[in-house]
Amino acid sequence: MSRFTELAERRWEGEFTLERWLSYLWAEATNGEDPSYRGSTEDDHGLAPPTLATIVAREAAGTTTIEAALSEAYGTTAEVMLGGHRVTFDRPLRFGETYRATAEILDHEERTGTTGAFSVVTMAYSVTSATGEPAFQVEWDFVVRAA
Amino acid sequence: MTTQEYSVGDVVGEFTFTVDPASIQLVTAIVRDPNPIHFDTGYIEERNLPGRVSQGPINASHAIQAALRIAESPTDLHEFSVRYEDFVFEGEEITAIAIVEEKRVGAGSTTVDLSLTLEKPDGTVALTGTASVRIE
Repeated sequence: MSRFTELAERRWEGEFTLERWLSYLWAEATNGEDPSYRGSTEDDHGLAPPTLATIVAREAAGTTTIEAALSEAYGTTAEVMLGGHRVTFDRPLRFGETYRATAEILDHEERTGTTGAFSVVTMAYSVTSATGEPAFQVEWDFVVRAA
Repeated sequence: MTTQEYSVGDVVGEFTFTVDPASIQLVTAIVRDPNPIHFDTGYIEERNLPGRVSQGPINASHAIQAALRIAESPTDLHEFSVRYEDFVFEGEEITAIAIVEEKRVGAGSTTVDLSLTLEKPDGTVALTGTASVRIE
């Protein structure tokens, strides 16, 4: 039985509206080159930076505190690091849109490396438009180890 | 460039950037990032880290921008996958590279599969990944 078995039985879901200001700030923080990311006063459904999909999924599913939950499940003082992301788009990410997401722990396994034991936990998000059309899928890999 | 002009091994996007601490601060606030390696200078000193650590999505965003140099629009990005191989610190100079690995011609569209890397000047690879971009 893994440290994360109980947490893996949980499901998260909810919705999130991606507002223009967030697309703007994300583009600023990541040097996003496409001018459409920042929109204009007349543009209320512009393109958002694609990597922002990872954050939209996390916000929509209500998993902004998932690191704390993973750390607690680990059982000792743990640090939670980001290992990777995978994103597949059914449609471009746009600000002004409301997204619905469900999330679950897709996989969790214990590993041992040169620096000792650690766990790898994969969170999977399925994201749709407010009316249910597929929008994108996201996976977050977390590496959890004793601090 | 047209589809015919892209070949496996072509570098379609490459640029160097310096990691801006303001970006790390901004993303910490946006995602309410609880990890002290991104903001707690005392903790960073205790860990003997050379500075604040750039969040993975910041690093991924630069890699994706290298991939999108081949695209007409960000809407052409179909999927991407990244693995964070090493810390990236504030002030570091990083080079983002996108290279053609495969070209797939389908009915009415052509997709290019790219490999992505972020490299430090000493050759350390901080990120590896892939992206699929429609180009026609």
